[in-house]
Amino acid sequence: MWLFLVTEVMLFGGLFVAYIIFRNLYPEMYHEAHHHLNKVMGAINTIVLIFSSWTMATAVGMAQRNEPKKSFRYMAVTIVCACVFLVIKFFEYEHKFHEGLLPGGYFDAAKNGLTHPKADLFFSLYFMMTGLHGLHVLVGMSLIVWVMWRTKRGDFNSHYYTPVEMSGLYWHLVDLIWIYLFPLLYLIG
Amino acid sequence: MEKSGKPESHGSHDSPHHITPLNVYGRVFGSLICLTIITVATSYCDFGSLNILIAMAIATIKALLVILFFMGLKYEGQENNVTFFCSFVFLAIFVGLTSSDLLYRSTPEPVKPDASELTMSGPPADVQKLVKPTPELVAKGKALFTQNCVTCHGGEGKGDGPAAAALTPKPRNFTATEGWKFGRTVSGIFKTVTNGSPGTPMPPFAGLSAEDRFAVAHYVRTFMSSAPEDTGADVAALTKEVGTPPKPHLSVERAMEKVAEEWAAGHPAGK
Repeated sequence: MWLFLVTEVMLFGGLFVAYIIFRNLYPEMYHEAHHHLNKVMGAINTIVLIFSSWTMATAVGMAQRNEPKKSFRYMAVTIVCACVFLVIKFFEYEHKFHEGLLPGGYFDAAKNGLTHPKADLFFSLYFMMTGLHGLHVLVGMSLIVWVMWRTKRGDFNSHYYTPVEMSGLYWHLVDLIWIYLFPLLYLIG
Repeated sequence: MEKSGKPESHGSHDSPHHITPLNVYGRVFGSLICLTIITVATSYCDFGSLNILIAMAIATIKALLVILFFMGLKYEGQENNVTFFCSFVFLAIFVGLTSSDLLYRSTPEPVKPDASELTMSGPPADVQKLVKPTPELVAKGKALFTQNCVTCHGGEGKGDGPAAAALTPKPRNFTATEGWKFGRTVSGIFKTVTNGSPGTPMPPFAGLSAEDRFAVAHYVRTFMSSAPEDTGADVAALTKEVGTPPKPHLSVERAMEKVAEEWAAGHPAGK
C-alpha cells in the first residue's frame, strides 16, 4: 500500500514540477491568474478535507477498538464531507466555465479580461491538478462506501480491519495532495 | 491499549498495529485547522518572495502531521518509513534539479560591438524582381518545399502528406481554387509562409530569408492550373513591408571573436 502511495506522490510530483517550471517562466501570469480563484471557497474546502481526514482516522481507530457501528458512522461523516468538497468544487468549476477560464484553446480572454497571452496555461494546470485530485476524491469515496458496506456486514473486528485502514490511508493521501494544491494555486501569486 | 503517553515501540509481536489514542487525532486536527488559518491569513500580507516559502513551510508541517499521525507512519515499520520518505527524497531531487536549472540558467549578455565594426547586411530584398518567377527561383523553391512542406502538403501539393492525417484543419490542397484565406497570388502565399495561418497547424516560416519565401511561393504556384497575379498595389504594399532595410549588425565572424575574447577575459589562464 505504501508503495502505491509512493507512485501517487510521483504522479502529482510531475504536475508540481510542471507548475514550478511555468511559474519560473511566467511569474507575472501566475500573479494575474491566481486572483481569479476563490480563496474563500478553497479555504472552506481545505477545512472540509482536513475534517474528513480526522473523521476517517477516527473511523479506523474505532475499527481497531472493535466498534464497527461507530466506525461506520465516522465513515459516513467522511463521505458527507467528500460530497461537500465536490459540491463546492462544482460551483468553482461552473464559475470558471462561465468566465471562460478554461485550459488551452478553450480559454476565452474576452470573457475574463486576463491580459497575459499565456494565462490559459495556468488554467490548464489548474484543471489538470484539481481534476486529477477530484478523481482521487471520487475513488476514495468509492473505497470508503465499499468499506462501509463491509463494516455493516460485520466483516471487520479488532483483528482484521486492513481494508478500513488502507482506504483510510488513501483518503489521507487525497488530503495530503490538497494541502499542497491549495496554497500553490489559491494563495501565492 | 488506550495509552495517552508515549506509544509503544512498533512491531512488537502480539500487537503489530499501534492504536493511536483518539485525543491525538483531535489535537492533530486542531493544529491542522490552526495552520490553515495561518496560511490563509499570511496570504493577505505581502512578504514578497517570502510568501511562497511561508506557504510551503506550513504546507509541509501540515503534510507531516497528516503522514505521521493520521496515516500513522510514525508507528509503521521501518520499511514503510523508508519507502514513503524515499518518494519525497526523489521528488525533492526532481524539484531541486529543475529549479536550480531554471534559477541559475544564465542568459548570455549580448555582445557589445563598437560602431565601427557594424556592417549592413546585404541590400534589402528586391521585391520587384522577386515577385516574378524565374527557373532558378522555382528550383530553389522546390528544394525548400521538399525540406519544409511535403510532410504536410504532400509531394504533389494536394495537402496529403504523411502528417496530414493527424492535422485539423487539413493542410491546403494547392490544386484547389477555393478557400484560400490569404489568396493565391505571390504576395498572398508569401504572407502565409511568413506569418503562418492562425487557427491552423500551418506555422510561420519567418526564419527563411525573404528570397527563400518568394521561391517557395513560386513553387507552390506551379501546382495551380491558373494562378492569379498580384496587382501593382499588392506589390507596392509588399515592397514597403519586406523592402525595409535590415538593421546594422555585426558580422558573424566578428561576433564569434568577441564572444571568445569575452570568455577569455572571464576565464583567466585558460581555465
